[in-house]
Amino acid sequence: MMDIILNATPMSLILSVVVPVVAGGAIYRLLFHPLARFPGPKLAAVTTLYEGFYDIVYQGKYIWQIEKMHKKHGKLSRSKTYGQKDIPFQRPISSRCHECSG
Amino acid sequence: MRHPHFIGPIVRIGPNELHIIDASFYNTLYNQSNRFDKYDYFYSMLGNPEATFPTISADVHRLRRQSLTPFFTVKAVQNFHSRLQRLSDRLVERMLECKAAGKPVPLFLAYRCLTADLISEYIFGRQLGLINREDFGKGFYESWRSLWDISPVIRQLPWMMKVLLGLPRWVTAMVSPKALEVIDMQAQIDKWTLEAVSNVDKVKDSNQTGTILAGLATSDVLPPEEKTLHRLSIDANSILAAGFETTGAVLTHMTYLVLADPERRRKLINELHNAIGDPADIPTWQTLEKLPYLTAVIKEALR
Repeated sequence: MMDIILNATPMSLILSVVVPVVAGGAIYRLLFHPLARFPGPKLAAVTTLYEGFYDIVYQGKYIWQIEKMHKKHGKLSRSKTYGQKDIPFQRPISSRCHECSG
Repeated sequence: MRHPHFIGPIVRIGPNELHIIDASFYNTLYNQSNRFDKYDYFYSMLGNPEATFPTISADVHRLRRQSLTPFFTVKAVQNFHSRLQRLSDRLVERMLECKAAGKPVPLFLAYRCLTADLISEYIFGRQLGLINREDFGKGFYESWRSLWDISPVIRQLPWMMKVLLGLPRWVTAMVSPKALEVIDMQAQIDKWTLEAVSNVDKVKDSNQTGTILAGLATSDVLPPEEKTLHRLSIDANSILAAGFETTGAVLTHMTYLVLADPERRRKLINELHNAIGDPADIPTWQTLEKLPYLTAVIKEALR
């Protein structure tokens, strides 16, 4: 086992360790994370660098991007009203296709 | 996953972050009975988890918050009134100087001089002295602002703060002059914190209103590990920032809105004329806070 690690070239290390870890993390965040069922850009779900990009390059303008995200991903719900105690997390929604047709 | 998909006023804006675009949800999330921890990723931006504001754990935050409460009661503010009045007078002097010289008053900075000097007097027992500076503290403000400029980078790479603090000064100066200014400011605050804390006994003898730092150092609420010089200094820096930028911004907006609206300006000035007989003798704020129009103006600016 030690041999394999010691003889590994940098490239094979990257391929065998870094790539699976990053890919595994991305798959977890997209499919198995507790927030996986909420809509939003896939890239934002995978990495905080999405937010970082808007805040660093565009100097704190992520809030405007968030507004666009709501327009894109939350159309149907605009007409629904939520009571103060009705925590929206609990609302069952059948399929994301509603969103596409809205 | 019982509900495989969700459509609503909620989008996922980060791996662990949701955004809810529904104003009524505000009161559900932010209320006294919720004891949520803060989101460490978000608050990592300033690299100061030991300050009260960005404390992650709800329980620790409650303790630190409690240690600060005595300084912001009505009575504490009353005790502070004369010092506030002196600083306001000084600001008016500076404005008149500008008028005499035919120069505009940079209100954005001028108000921040007032609030920064005031809060530093309260924290350390000494003023930053911005109000006397020719540039109305422009240099100070810019270096303080630079912390905000680098904060989104720190948020992505929280270890950067430790690296910046650990690097030799000349390296930091090369990499980021702004970061150097921030580090120098923290060093200055470390020094003042030490002074304020070592003056605790003197202050007690002289029967003055204590500084926030002296109060924290002798607080019954905080356990010893919360009273280290390091933590007190970080909290001092945080309170300084929180105390001057917020109030300074409100004053700036308020003045603009009043000046931009002749009718409201006239109403406000009339009310103040009636309430204040002699400009050299400004009533206490207990009197002033009973003025309806002034109160409305302040509330509107806060909103």
